[in-house]
Amino acid sequence: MNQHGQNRPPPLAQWLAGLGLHPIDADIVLGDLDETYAHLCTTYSVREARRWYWSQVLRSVLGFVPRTFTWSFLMLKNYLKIAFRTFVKHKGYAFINIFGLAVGIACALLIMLFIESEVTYDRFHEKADRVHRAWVLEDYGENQQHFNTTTPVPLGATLQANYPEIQSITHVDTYNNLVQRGDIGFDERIHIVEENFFEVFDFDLLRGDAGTALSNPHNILLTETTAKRYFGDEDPMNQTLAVRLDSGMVDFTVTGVAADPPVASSIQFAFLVPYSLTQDMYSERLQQAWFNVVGETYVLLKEGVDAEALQAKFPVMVEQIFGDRLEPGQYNVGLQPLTDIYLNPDFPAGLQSTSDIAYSYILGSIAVLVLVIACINFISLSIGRSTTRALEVGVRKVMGAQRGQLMHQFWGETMLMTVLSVGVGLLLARLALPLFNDLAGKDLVLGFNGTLVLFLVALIALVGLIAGSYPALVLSAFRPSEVLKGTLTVGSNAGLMRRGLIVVQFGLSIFLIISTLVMAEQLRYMQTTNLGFNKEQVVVVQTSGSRQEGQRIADLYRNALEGESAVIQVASAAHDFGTGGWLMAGYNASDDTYKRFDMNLISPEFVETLGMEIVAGRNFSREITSDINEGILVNEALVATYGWDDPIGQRLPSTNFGQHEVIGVVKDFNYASLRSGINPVVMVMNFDAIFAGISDVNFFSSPVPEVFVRIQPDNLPTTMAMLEQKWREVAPDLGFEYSFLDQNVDNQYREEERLGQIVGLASLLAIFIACLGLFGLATLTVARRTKEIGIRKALGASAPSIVVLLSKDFTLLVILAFVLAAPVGYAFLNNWLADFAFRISIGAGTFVLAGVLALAIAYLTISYHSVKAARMAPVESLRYE
Amino acid sequence: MPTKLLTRAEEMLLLSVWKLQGNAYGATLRNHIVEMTGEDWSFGSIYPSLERLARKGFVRTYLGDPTPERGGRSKRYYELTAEGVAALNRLRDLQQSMWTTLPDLNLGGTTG
Repeated sequence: MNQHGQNRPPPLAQWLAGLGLHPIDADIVLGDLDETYAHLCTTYSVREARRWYWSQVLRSVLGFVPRTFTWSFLMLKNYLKIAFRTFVKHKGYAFINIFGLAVGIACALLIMLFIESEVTYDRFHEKADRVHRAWVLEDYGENQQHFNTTTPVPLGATLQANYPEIQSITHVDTYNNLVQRGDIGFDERIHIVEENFFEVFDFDLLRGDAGTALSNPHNILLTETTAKRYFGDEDPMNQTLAVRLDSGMVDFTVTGVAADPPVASSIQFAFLVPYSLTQDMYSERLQQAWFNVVGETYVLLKEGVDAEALQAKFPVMVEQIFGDRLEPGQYNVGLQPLTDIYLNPDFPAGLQSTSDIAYSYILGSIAVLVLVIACINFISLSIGRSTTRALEVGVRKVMGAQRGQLMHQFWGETMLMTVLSVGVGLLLARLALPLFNDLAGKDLVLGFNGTLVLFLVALIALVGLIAGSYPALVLSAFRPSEVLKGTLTVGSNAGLMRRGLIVVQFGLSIFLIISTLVMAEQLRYMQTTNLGFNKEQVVVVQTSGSRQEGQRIADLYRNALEGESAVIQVASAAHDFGTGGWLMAGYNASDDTYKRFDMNLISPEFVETLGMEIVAGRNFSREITSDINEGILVNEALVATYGWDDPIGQRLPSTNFGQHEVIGVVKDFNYASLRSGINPVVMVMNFDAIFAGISDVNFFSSPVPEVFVRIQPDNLPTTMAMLEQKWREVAPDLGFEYSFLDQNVDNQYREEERLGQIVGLASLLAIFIACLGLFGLATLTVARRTKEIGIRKALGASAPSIVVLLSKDFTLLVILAFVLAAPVGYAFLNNWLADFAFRISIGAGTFVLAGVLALAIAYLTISYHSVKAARMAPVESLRYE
Repeated sequence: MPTKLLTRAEEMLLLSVWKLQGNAYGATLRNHIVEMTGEDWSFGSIYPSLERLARKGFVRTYLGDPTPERGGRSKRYYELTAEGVAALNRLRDLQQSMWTTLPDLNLGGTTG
């Protein structure tokens, strides 16, 4: 038999058995277990007994636990019934509460999806954390830095040779040129990759063999979408596509079809050709050059290698390469993690499109704001209801309810509402998803998602807990005697807290309104301000091939369009507006300073076609032969930078340039986004003279010429048809790819536009939710003051004066909210605008508008109640008890 | 008075309580059933069932004295009530009537 201290059953199992049991019951159960255990110890062995004990406990836990919950379960049915009836009785309140929170949740959900998508870019590659992109930073002091994420050709092989930590290197480069099938061709962006591309990156190859697909220089791979575009439903394998190389149109064989790169990949390609092609494409000089960058170099490190440590070793290699030619610190090589590329704005863009982590921060903050507002609502309304529930609490307590039970009830009710809100929120999110995808430019899916579930559970727990705490803790403490006698006073703290919440809600909403207004104004400013040229009514047509080939086509096209009534004027230029920027050039001036300017190669008609203004000298003229090779046009900014009093006839201050002179000065114009200021600009008809003197060149967009056609505004379809037909006459094997200049320019601000839209939407949501809160609160306040209103009316107060009376309270709150939100908004927006070289100034008018708007909305919200109360006959209200 | 039939488990528990009258508590009841059926019933199924039976009024329960063998813990004893006996008898009668005059299926089982 069991003696004290001998053969005690495993304590952990004992504790487990006692979980969730009432102390007395636990005792009994444990006692029974003890007895049987002791018996088993003697009959069998201690080990057997222990094993049996554990098995018993584990099997019984489920049986034990419901025991305490059984009673709770019975009560739960009652609570649910009451909760349901409460909802039905106060449909309005329940609806407002649930819907308000649901909207906040939907908003937060969508934004969470967005942020998740942004943050997980490029993580789908299995080796993602071992893949890095090399960068090169040349720093010669003073203004002369070149930071590039595209790299010199020899870097890859040199890295691999010097560092055994590197498992493999792969290059990725792009090439824009004509791709043709049969008669029809398009200017396409082709990616040039090495044979180990599919080993380093996890892109799916649907057809073809990853090992051999890129073995022959004239192999080409397509993505699914591209294959469909060129071959329809036919099988593209082993078919021929012609690609224009320097030597002319060359036939390529399709050796594979890859799946479309996932949306969450910064590397997006349509065509893949082998890197071996670059042997012919890159000149000898380029292949050895350390000061020219072309293509990206990706490095796959071996397992366990620390990238930072490896990067610290690079200066040794650099010194080996350059020896005395460079000082230490002038040429730096580094590694950027693959997963960092998409969101890090500190690195210059390589070949991929990037985003900015700032968006995720902004959206995240908005999500939090809106959610906070919604939760505040929820809590505030629950608190507001408390006075009416007091009676119920009193009755329940009289009937024997314990405080704990009441707490369970109220918390349960709140949880139920929260769960309902989450459900509705999910539904709303599902409905709004297409619109949001549109807005955010993504392809998000609301599927089953671990993070999502976690988030929702956390939300339910948090909101339910906080929102339920007031009724659960405070309400349940009410003394029945006070409640039923009517002497209960709900703490004035509650009123203060409610008002505080309203102020916060409206404050946040006002902040968002101000932001929306300012962003919209800035956007409108950018889209309508005088850019120094006329972007309306201009069709931009893309040529293809080499620069010379493109120019030839452009000239032919210009001639073909002569005499067309719909065409006002035609010009051509190497760089368009709004597509990344003009050629950036730098050179060493004779005074040993380093100077930069932006450059474009234009036809004489350019200035006129685009409506630019010549302020000194003259435009290019086809008649004057020296114009072609020696004439340059500069802008006012350049003249100002060089301090020329008489710009005409001047030369750029360096003896390295060929023979040239300034023949005219153009009034400053914005050839790039209004985020950046206007740099010195040089425009030439022929690159050669200037090219000779430049030491550094940066192409942001392809130098293949575009044709700019200024057309008459009327009859657009006819004009477009004519333009296309003429194009076909001039370039029959080239697709007619066109765009509108004003759209191209506006596209620069697509990000800002989107941001503005999102902020606008967020403020709508915030206001909506804040109004819901205000509406609900007004209901309660007015209901409470019904008697007072009745008395006032009986004493002769007019209906309007009642409205004013009721509104006065809320007016103060909104004004307070405004006073708090305005400075914050101002500071924040000033900061945002600082990013733009050309910006609006935030006017007082904006703030006034925001404030008035907020007040108007507040009044509108409470008007329903105040008007109803004011018009109610006094006899009704005084009878109310 | 609920007219639902007793479940197998309930029946066995009640019979055990009857059998062990005066000494019927958790450990002994379980022991008895384990001996009779050969199945290692868990405490977690016994207690709730006993409680249900108590709620239905078929057993009543009382606390016993603490004993040193159980480490100073008390026992909860169960004993049958009149309704419990009646319920058992009802079930038995029903069974007997269902088992009488069954036709011969030529399958080898005994009838009657």
